[in-house]
Amino acid sequence: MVVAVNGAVLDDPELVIREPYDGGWLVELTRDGAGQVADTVAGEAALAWYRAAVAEHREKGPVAE
Amino acid sequence: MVAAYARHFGTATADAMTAQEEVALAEYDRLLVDPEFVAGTRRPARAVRTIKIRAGVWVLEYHPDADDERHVVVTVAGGVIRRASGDLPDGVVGLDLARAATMFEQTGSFAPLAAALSSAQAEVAVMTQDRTTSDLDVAGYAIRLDRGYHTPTHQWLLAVGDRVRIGLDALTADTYGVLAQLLLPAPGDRLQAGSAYGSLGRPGSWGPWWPRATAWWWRSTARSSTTRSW
Repeated sequence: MVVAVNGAVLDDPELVIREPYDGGWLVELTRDGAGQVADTVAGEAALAWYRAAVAEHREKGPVAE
Repeated sequence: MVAAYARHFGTATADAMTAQEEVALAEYDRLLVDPEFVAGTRRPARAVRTIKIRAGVWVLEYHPDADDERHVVVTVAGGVIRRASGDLPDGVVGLDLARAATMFEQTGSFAPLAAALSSAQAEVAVMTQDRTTSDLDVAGYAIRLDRGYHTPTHQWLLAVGDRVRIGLDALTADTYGVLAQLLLPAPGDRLQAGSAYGSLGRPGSWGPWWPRATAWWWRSTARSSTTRSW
């Protein structure tokens, strides 16, 4: 369930671009009753995935459209 | 500066050396064949020589002087002593740098090596801190390794107390260039697997936010559902 929405990005959408990892967060969800977060990578695995994604982006263009 | 040069060396002429220039040249003729001058300033001998291979990887050589039997070479990587040669206490290989520095400090005779290891350990600590709390640059796009990433949708998840905070990674955020509008769910909304939960738009391009971006983050929901749309 959504428990919080970042009002700052609704007022200023470009905050998502300027501060994607800090002030540009989108929503907060509860964890209760939902188990663990699924299917994510972290640490060195995340870094390796990101490097590949950036390389693909540079070669082919946007990756999330 | 020209005037100062003229006062010091005399007025220069095109086809002859001034008396002052002759004196200066004679002095350099003498100095440049003097082995002590050519050898340059002598630096004090260092008991520990540190060779940095790359960030976090060093080879340390400890050899107090040519007559000293103690000659140790230690390779450090990933905050741990990976290899060691020479007359060292047992169990050095595999020790993290903090414990190795303590061990060498206690032996007394390896105190300079202990200091070098402590310096390396401090650098590793800074590197580790940077990697978890600061942006890492990947070809111009930042990533932060203090959180998890859902790779199909390029969203990050960060535990904040008893909540999970969600956002976009820098690569995806950057591809939008300019954002004109953003729609998000309201507090209290329940997200469904297989459904987009928000929309964003840029000038001239407005539409649902990634059909693939869904309520994928709840294991209990996602695992029980077959409605993933990506």
